[in-house]
Amino acid sequence: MITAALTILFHGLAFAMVLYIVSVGLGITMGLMNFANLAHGAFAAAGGYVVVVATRSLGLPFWVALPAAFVVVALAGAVVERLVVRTLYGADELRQVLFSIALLFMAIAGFTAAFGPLQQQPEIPAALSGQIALGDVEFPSYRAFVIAAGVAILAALWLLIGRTRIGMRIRAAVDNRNMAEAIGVDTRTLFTLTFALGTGIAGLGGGIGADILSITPTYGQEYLVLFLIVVAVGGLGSIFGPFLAALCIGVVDVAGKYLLPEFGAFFIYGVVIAILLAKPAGLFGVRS
Amino acid sequence: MPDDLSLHKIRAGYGATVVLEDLSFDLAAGSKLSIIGRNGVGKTTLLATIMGLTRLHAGRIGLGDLDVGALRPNRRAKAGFGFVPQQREIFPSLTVEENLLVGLRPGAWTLARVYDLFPRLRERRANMGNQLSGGEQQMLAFGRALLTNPRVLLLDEPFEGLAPVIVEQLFQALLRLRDEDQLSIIMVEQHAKLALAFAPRTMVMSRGRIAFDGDSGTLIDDPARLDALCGIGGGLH
Repeated sequence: MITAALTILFHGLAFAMVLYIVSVGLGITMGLMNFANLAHGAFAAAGGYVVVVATRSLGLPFWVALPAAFVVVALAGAVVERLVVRTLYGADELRQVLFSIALLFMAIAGFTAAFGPLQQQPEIPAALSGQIALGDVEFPSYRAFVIAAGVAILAALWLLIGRTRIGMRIRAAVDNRNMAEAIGVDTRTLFTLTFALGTGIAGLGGGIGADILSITPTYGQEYLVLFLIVVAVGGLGSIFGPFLAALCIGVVDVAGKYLLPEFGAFFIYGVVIAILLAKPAGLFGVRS
Repeated sequence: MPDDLSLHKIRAGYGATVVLEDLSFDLAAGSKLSIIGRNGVGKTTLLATIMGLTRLHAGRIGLGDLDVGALRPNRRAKAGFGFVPQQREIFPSLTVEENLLVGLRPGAWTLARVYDLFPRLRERRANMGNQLSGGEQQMLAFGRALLTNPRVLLLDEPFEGLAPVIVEQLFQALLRLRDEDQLSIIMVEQHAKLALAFAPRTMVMSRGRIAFDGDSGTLIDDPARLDALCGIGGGLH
């Protein structure tokens, strides 16, 4: 009984942290720029492929591959923001959705052409491929690393958004873009930086989470609903909301599938509906 | 003194709608100007246009030698405009002190000076922007604009919706600002009495144009003319 509870909690937490790392950037960019980026998951997949290529083809250490995934995907995000996304701020949602879906499909085609349709696994360092014991139960140490990484990213974002000048400006621009401009905040540059940051973290999440959300060309499409749920339940423009949302969804999903596998994903949608009925703007929504 | 701010044949509004028509005036560096007029004549639009928050169809907006008409609002703020909007527009997810610091640029105005002008803000420094009374929000909006160290301060109906005792307090602070500081101030105000007492020069707007631009004293001495310009409810309260 306790073993089952521990197992559910542990794997639920690991799943939750992957969801969080991938989704948090989506929530920030949606809250700040009102841009519904349905291609967000493709950036996460790109990060996964960076880690795969770096560790498998280039033979680089995992600890170099992860920052590389962040940097490469953040730069790609900045380019996409400057070239296209920028022209869609303030456009109606249909145009944003059509663009980002098109970008997602292009990414899927591109990944398939470059890496083939099959799942790719990064090379994981020996230090993380063993087991760790929690009481009488053993767990894969890689998943413990995933949990630690999720908490570390939450802490880093909290410091960045809550304690730095750029974070102050991001919050001000989320609250009121025109007023932020009127006191001298260059919101265009801020948007590019934020978009790059959000996609970069997603890339990191794709790489870190490849063990749980496997890297295939259709990654961005397959898990899109999960990312959107985390953001909708957590609230747009928030750091903590998506964390709590990811925790609920991760643990409930793993528990449901473990205890009543025949109901599949029923539980997370049930929880989502219940939360959104009670709090339509999400748990910590700055905006609905 | 040289003209610091100059508006020349401004035509502006929101989208295709034109609110301001053929509007021109100059303001010398360090001088103060009150703008009055009925509701909906374009006073707020005028300030928003100077700030770059509307669509400028034609005309030139100059600050010193710089043509700011094509600049985005953040560049205008950096060029020297400080904006205190009608709705105050405090950032709710920032603390009082963060609201003050978020636009800080180096200059004569420091956090300590703002706290000296509005001691209440020092007491409330750790509160969030959405936990303030109307008067405190207005002080914060003033302080936030001052800390951008502007050359021209734009005030949009700073006393609207505030209790008389708060209005009096804020007006005293504003007079202190007027007398002790070199900055140019344009104040849009519904209370004609306060507006005329604040600045030696007053502009009356009517339907997007300037109906009067001259000595405030002229209007104080001629209530009938003021009433004719501002209409019912716009005169001396």
